[in-house]
Amino acid sequence: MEQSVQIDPLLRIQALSHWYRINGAARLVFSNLQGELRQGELVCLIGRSGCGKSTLLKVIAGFLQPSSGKCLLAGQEIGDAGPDRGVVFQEDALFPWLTVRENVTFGMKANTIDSGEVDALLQQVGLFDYAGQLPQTLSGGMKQRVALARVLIRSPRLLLMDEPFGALDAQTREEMQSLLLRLMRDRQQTVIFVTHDVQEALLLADRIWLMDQEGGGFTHELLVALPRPRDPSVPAFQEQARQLHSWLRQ
Amino acid sequence: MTDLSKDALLVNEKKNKGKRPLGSLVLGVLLPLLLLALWEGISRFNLVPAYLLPSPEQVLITAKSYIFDQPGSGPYSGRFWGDLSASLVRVVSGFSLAALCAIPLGLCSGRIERINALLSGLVNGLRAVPGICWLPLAMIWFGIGLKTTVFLVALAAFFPIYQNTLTGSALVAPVYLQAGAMLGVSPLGRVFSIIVPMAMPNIIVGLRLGMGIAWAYLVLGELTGVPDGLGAVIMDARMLGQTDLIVVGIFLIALIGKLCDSLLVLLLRTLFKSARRL
Repeated sequence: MEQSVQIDPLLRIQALSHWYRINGAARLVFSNLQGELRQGELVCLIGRSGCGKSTLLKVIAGFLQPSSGKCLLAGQEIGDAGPDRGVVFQEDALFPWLTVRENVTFGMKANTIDSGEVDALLQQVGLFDYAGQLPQTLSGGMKQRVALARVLIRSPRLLLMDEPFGALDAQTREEMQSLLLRLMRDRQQTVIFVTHDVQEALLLADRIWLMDQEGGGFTHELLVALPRPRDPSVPAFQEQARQLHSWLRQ
Repeated sequence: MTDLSKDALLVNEKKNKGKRPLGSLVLGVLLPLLLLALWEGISRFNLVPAYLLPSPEQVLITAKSYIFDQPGSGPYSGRFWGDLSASLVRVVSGFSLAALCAIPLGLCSGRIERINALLSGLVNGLRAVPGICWLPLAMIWFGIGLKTTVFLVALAAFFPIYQNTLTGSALVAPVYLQAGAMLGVSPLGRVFSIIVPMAMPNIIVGLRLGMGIAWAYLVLGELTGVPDGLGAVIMDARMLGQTDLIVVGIFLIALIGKLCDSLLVLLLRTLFKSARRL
């Protein structure tokens, strides 16, 4: 993969490999991944099911130790999971016994909670009026907005999103994509976004990394230089979609 | 319809979902009332002799005397409160001991495979032993009285609490623990702030089953010749041929057992947010 010219990337992935054993046989998930992510960038990871997108995200999040190689966040090797790498999971993973507000502030010490900031964030994600509701009373889109708010309140250096809108209907998905882009712009948030949807990747990403199905590294990188908001009907968008599809078919 | 109004509708629909309709309350008392009517019919037409099945009226008179009359005015008059407090001490002591051992062990077994492997053989083996088998040994160890009953109650209540806590904690999806780690909660903090609340529905089931079985084993413990307690009254009444007092004892144990179950749920709901969503 082409190396970034930026001197100090926020995230640097160096010769990262991961494999696990099933019944004594090693199964390679990915090998020798190299990549860099700049501050404020949104990179989409795309690839077929089982190619290791979610595993890579787990390694960066600190949920999983890589078999070899390392990831550096702002020059420091990443360790265990922590609030500097916020994760939005595919399923909402909200705590069902806590209200929206309590989910957002979960794990924070009482004296570090700025209730004005919580209110402002809930306003931003459109959930201020639902702050006292339990997750079971919310729709799928609302739950994912809570999941987004609870990581953003901690101002993570890196936001990791694992197919977060995969289970949503088309209209809600579009709204969530717009919300994410707005929050990214306002906060200069750096994001790695896993998806298997080519159109979603092109709508959101600054760059797209394709992962090898056969346990290799990133096979291709696509720079998406289209102006936002992006229109899937324009020829340049469709050309890039065709390019991605052809790489995925290879 | 806009997304927001759709969301509001959904919230209202789900809010109303938890309310218990009047019809189900009526259904809840229907069967007991039918059984009462059947019992009254059997007594009124002398289908079964009174020494085998006393009439509801006779049972009410005996209950009134047992609960409300002055102590000393009859052989069992006014003894209820003393028997109740003796039985409650035994149930609460045995049940608390069981919960204190079973919940931590269940949590450890549910989350740590090696502890589960260490305990499962022993626990499953002991679980299969009927409580009555322990009675002779308990009487030799502890004599007749509080200790034997508390031992039996604790032993019996332990297994459902342990097993349900184990199941609940084993079923906590890794994604919740990953979320906790990502939000900065320490490994020990995750036990109390994530695993216990997530397992709470199962823990409550275990505690309620444990409470029910505690009352059953209380009676077993009190049938051994202790001087007071609701089980002791039933045993005395059997020896005196007072079936009306046996029926009173059975009703009171059912009533107090139900009350204890409701109080337990209320206590858990008051103490733990995670119990309130049930």
